[in-house]
Amino acid sequence: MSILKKVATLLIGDDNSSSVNWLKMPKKRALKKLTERELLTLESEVGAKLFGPIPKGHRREFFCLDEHTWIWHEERLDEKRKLTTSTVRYEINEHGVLKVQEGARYAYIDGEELQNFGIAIRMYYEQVAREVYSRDPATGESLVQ
Amino acid sequence: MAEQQHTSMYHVPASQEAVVVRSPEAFLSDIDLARKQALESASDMRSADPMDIDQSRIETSNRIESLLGKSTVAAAETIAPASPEVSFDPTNKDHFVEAGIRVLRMRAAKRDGFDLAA
Repeated sequence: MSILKKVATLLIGDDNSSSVNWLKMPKKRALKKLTERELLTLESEVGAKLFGPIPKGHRREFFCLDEHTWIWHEERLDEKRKLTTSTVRYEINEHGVLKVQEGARYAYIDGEELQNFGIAIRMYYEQVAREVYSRDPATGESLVQ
Repeated sequence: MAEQQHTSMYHVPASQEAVVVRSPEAFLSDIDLARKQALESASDMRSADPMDIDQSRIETSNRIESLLGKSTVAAAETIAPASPEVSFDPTNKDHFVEAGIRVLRMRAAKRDGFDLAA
């Protein structure tokens, strides 16, 4: 009989209760690893909310693909319940922020759009740090003691 | 059509709390004001009782919250961090890259199991 089982028996006082499963850590514990895709999904849920409420029938994603690339994607059903999608890729390069859309349309953003993009990035970092990774965005310190 | 859809994503309804409701100029102006007032308060209270300083922080936080709206307080904290010379420029692409790198680091740490906090 293991020490753990003996302790459990002493505490419970029931030798027939051989199961000590109740002492085991739950599987859904904080130590669980997540895949990159799962983390991107969690981040995107935060990112999608940065631009306001998502209308019914719409699905939106906004996330950081890599340090130079941000993705905005939206799907919606029109009146005929036909699915329409729109994906925009923002690429940050030495010249600025290049907005790439379907149909080989691309242009560098500027003015208000550039500022809003910058604020969205900052808000994304801020909220993802807190809500997904439980970290203080200013210091990088863990918010979980 | 796609162009219109994309452009409109930044035009948030008035009832929305997201930071993009405010014009960037007003947003940054308010943050600069709050930062300046916070620095002046901190300077005045260097020799004050610690309890008073804590109260000052609460008041500063409340003032920022009232200025910017609840959902933007967190952003104000990071745009105006403890070191006032470090600021985020919403038009500086280098800052965009830096934010992305920080996100990637947090993601990698979590993915690889080094970050057990979240």
